[in-house]
Amino acid sequence: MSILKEGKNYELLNTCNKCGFCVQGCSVYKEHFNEAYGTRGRIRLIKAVANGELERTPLYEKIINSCLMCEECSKNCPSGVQGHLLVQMAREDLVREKGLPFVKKFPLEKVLPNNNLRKLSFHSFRLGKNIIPQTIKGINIKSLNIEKVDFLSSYKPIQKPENPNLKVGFFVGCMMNHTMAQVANSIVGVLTKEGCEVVVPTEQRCCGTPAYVYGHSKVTRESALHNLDIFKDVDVVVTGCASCGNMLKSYGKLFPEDSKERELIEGFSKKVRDITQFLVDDLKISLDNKQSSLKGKVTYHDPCHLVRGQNITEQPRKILQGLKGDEYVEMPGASKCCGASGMFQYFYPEEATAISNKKVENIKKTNADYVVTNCPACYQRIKGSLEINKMPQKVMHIIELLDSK
Amino acid sequence: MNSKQINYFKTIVDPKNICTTKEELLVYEYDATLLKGAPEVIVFPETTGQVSLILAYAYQENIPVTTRGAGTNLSGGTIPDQGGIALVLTKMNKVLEIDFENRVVVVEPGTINQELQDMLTPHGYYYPPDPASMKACTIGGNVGECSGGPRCLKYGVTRDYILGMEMVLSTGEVVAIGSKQQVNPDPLDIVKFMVGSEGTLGVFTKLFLKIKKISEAKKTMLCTFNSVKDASRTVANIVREGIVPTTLELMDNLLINCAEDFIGLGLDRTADALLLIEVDGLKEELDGQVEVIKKVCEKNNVKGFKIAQSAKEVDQLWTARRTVIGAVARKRPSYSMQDVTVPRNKLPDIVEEIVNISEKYNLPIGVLAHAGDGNLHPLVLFDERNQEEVEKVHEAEFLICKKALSLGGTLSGEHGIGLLKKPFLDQEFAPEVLSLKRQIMLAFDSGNILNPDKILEVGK
Ligand SMILES: Cc1cc2nc3c(=O)[nH]c(=O)nc-3n(C[C@H](O)[C@H](O)[C@H](O)COP(=O)(O)OP(=O)(O)OC[C@H]3O[C@@H](n4cnc5c(N)ncnc54)[C@H](O)[C@@H]3O)c2cc1C
Ligand code: SF4
Ligand code: SF4
Ligand code: SF4
Repeated sequence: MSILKEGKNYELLNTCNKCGFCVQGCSVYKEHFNEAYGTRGRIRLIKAVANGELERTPLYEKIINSCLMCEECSKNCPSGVQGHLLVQMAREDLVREKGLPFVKKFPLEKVLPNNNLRKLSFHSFRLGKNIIPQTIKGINIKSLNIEKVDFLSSYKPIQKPENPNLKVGFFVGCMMNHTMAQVANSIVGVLTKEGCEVVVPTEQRCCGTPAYVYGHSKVTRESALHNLDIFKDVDVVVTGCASCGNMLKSYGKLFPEDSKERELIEGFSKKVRDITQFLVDDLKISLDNKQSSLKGKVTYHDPCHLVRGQNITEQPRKILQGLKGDEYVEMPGASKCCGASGMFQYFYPEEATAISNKKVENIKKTNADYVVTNCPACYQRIKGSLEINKMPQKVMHIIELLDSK
Repeated sequence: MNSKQINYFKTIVDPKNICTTKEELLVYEYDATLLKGAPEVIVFPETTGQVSLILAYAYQENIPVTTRGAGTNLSGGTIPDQGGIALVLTKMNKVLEIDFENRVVVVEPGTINQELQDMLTPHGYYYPPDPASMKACTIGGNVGECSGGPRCLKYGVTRDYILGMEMVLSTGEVVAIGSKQQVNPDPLDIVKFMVGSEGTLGVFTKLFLKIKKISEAKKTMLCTFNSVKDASRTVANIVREGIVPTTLELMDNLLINCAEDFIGLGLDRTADALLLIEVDGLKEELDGQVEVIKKVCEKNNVKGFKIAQSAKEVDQLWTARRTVIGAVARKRPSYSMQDVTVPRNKLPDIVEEIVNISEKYNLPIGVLAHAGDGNLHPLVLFDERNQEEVEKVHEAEFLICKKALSLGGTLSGEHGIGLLKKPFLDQEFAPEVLSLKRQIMLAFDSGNILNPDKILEVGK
């Protein structure tokens, strides 16, 4: 039996009463104006497959795969239907019934979970980067920084403070590890300055987001158990990647209710904090006489997996508004998806480019000098799109503002 | 339809705007009701000229055309139950002109209500009709259904804001009616016929709308009661005092709890009824009005009386109100919403009957009402997959409609007739009136191809 028909899953599918409240918020729908690419339509089709009215056709696969997992629909649905979870479930069903194509299977199953292979592939990409076209399918390859030596490989533990208040494990995440070593160092630095003992277990593994969103949660479950074990001795696990945080916090749903593993993993998830959440809510850092490392106008982009995935909106703004020396401006549509969404940008370049261009337009309206965000994937996408559009704004990770040297 | 016919449409619009795949037909077979019926082809026109050519051909070939905006209507108005073409206007979605001096806006029909409001707000203007679905529905659909909303008590419904339109007739002819100027009353005003025509008289391609300036100030009140009776008496008394709030919305206990589950505002879960009251106008008038309303509430045993203190609080109250219909689905998987109107002072009677019906059929029924104009939306909760329960829902709704009519009410406040209310129509209108309506429909659409046999069985 297909997992779509399983008790609770099928129940979820049937809670959608087709009111259509989710449709206009769906960025992918807004590029097609065709219901098939909006949440309500996707749910109808998943239901059709579950009921045996429809085969798993190539068009069905395209419709199911062209979802950003931005969670906008789930936030907008008064009936509590979690559109993005239904899409994830449909992808899981596709993987089981039809398998994954090699272009996804190999990276998801073999490369990302394996630290050496992953290092190798980022490394070869860095070397190859200069001989391939500078943009591929609207993705700005040229602007993508890849570290020669990634953060984890070069990490040297720093002096821990005397009488540390907390023992913090830093989960760096693959994107940050390979593309923003500087930012990762800043996170360690700021946390230490705030009196925490920071540990960075170098054998930590990809959080498993890519495998999960493409319906291969078996791989994610393995990552979950691995990371649980690696971080068992710390009080808190902090990350500066919105997607990682979202995944680490919701590992529980991957394990059967009432299982021993579920209980353990939920205990781990409870320790996870986004960096802004940790600084503002837990450490309650004082911003009274903190100087921003930037001068000029600063605006903020909410990563989907932070604003909707983790309900974090106030904390980053508190930091940005509290820091001295720069001026904060809110951008229109700050919480709309930037169009990156993992492999989406590669497989659906037309939609992704149009969605990113809307973000660029909104940035333009603010007249800001800097765009700040809190997720390496958004960072790269926005940076690339701004450069393609010849816009002057610089993109920063929020921690860079706090780390004035 | 045959493939020659379908291919012909590809000569009119970009082939990417023609869909015939099974997947796409499946997502255009429904709207917000439980009804179904698949089209044979979906066409997304991008210009008036394309709409005109599509209709001319459909007329010649006698193909049914179901016009569709966002498909959020609650009467089956966009179900292509006779197959043919689903004519979807979502790609014609531009705001063409905003003229603040003359307070007129020109939009294409696929413009989303909320998106228009978002363009007007920064300039201090708004378009008053505010269906709860405003984030999701199109202006074309609003005109098709003559939609109303909470603030229509004071400011009127869609009909009061449509100055004119460009429209394509079933033969493909393009006509402009009304005007962008607000002119003298027009005898035999065709614009008025078009509003609420549910896609049966023509396809709108441009709409001229009136807009208003946002009032200087407003106050939002939240009042809870121990009985629906007390709440409805309050409503009648407020109106008798000569105050016209923009909004007088009533929710019963079931809905209070559903709203609370979704938004978590700290509403009183034990209250039997809640009134959301909003007044607007000049700053100095408002305090007096609030005082009077408060007195009326107290006279009717109000349980809690609260004035929203911040813009954020007001926003949250409105979000709660606008989403409460969907929020009921947290209790049971499906809901069916009726739309009946009774004279304001008969509210307690119909609510009492609804409670009886709910008990008799053992079905939870929530009551939401635009209480100011006696428009009720009883929401019956059930499970669509349980056939026996579905039968009971039909019976229960039939009884509610009968009661509304016997109290001197009507069957459609604002959601239209479509397919869903068709069976009730001859209980509300005399045969002569129905015959007149039929003749009007045939005068506009002699081939009966536009949303054929919706509202009324027309025949040819
Ligand atoms: C949860 C919920 C709450 C709602 N709340 C309200 C409310 O408070 N008040 C209210 O009035 N309604 C309400 N509605 C009903 C619905 O949203 C409105 O009727 C809305 O106006 C429909 O707009 P639409 O774009 O979805 O139109 P559709 O459903 O696509 O079409 C509606 C009708 O208009 C016709 N039509 C559409 N476009 C055109 C055009 N360009 N030319 C000619 N005919 C056209 C269609 O043929 C159809 O008959 C609610 C619906 C839901 C699901
Ligand atoms: S997912 Fe929710 S918002 Fe979307 S159509 Fe279904 S019930 Fe409505
Ligand atoms: S998750 Fe985002 S892209 Fe996917 S259906 Fe929901 S709103 Fe659309
Ligand atoms: S979500 Fe992305 S960046 Fe974060 S760990 Fe996983 S793959 Fe890496």
